Amino acid sequence: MFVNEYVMDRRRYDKWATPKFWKLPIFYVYSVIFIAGVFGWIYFDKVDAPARWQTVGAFLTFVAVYRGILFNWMHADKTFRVTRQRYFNGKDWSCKVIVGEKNISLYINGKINNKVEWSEIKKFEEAKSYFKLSANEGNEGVMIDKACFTEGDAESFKKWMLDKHPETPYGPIAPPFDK
Amino acid sequence: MLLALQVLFGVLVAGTGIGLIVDIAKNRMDELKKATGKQWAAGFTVGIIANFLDTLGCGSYAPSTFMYKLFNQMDDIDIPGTLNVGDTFPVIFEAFIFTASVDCDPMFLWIMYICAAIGSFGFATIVTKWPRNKIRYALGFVMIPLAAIMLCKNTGIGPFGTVGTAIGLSGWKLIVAAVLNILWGALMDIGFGLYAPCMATCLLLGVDAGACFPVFMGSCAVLMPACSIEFIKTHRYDVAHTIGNALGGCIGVFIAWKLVTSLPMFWLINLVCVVLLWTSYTLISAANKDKKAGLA
Repeated sequence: MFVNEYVMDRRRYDKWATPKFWKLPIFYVYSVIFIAGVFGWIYFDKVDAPARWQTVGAFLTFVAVYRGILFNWMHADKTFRVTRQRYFNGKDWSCKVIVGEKNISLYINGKINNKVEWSEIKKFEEAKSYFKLSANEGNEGVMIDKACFTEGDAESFKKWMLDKHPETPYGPIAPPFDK
Repeated sequence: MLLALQVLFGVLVAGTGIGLIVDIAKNRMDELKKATGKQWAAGFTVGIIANFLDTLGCGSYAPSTFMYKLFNQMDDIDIPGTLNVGDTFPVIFEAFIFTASVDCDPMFLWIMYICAAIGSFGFATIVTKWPRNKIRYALGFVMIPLAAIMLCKNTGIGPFGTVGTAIGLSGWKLIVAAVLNILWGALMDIGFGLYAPCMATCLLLGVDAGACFPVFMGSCAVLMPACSIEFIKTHRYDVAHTIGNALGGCIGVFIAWKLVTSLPMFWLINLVCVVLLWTSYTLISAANKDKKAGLA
């Protein structure tokens, strides 16, 4: 059995939920839009074109910077603050993950919150500082901090997972989340 | 050519679009194949009507919800997701065609968009504690005199001066507009539409009625995808209605854009006043309803 305990604070949530924007493929699309926007804005200003053309340039540059760089971080940050306010009285919450033979138990602030069956785990992913046991739904999964084991340690956990659950595919996490 | 270019940009900008296509291809292909002609037609029709009204500033959620319930074709639980995801595309399309067809100061636009984003993301935890119904009443009652003042300005009656013709703001007026746009952005987190209050703010500070449109449309266009992503992730939307709504919505937006940009300024301002009064009525009646039901 392995036990992993950590406090979910703003920094940790941002780290786990926000991808490195420069490693996302869509970032290059936004870069092209940004360059087109800046170029258009400057060009239309120089040639004294109607303001609406500069308006388009300004809109594109804004959307590119906002969506390509700031959005993911702002969204994660807001989600964290709203969750903390609504469910935890404005305080950070403690998480305890007990990885057992039969299932994985998740505790929040000392109370059982969820039990995840091994059949629900679809992937075992490793990042620089954490493991993620990905479940069915998109980004959802059980997060395990390598530095926060109170029973067992990161190396033995990885070995145990590979031995006991060969049916769960193991691999590195997607590069934008490798932190 | 210009329109085609803008549509292309719109598609590129909508990260939501990529998310939606990936989700449908991966998880919802069966639903897409099973969709009936009636479902497509309903989504398409609702999209056209609701987004036509949305482009005029009336908002699209209330008419869409009313029509979807009337057609009774989808689970109530899927309605918010269908509206959010389906309307994201027309709203972004709206922002593009209005920024491309209306003169507006680029720096003014940038500042207003940043303020809306700051409001929505930075003040979410604060506004969720605010009394929703009191804000409804306050905004609802404030909009009545605002509409009256604009009508007086438009017709040259009273001591209010004439309507503004500025395509941007500076100095104290810019500061007031920016601060208020932070507030309007924040109020979006508790379900208040940004269009009408933002429109009223710009008009009263002297912005040309046509130039208000890219301001409030862009402010909304950059905020909407945040909600849509959540609905796509949790699969809480109806595939056929969402796509129908998105396609029909763009057509509705196009028709309304033609109307707005071809209307003489006198009639456009009158139309804006009607929208303000309509918004005021919807806010006050929603507040009364909740009060009667004991929700406030």
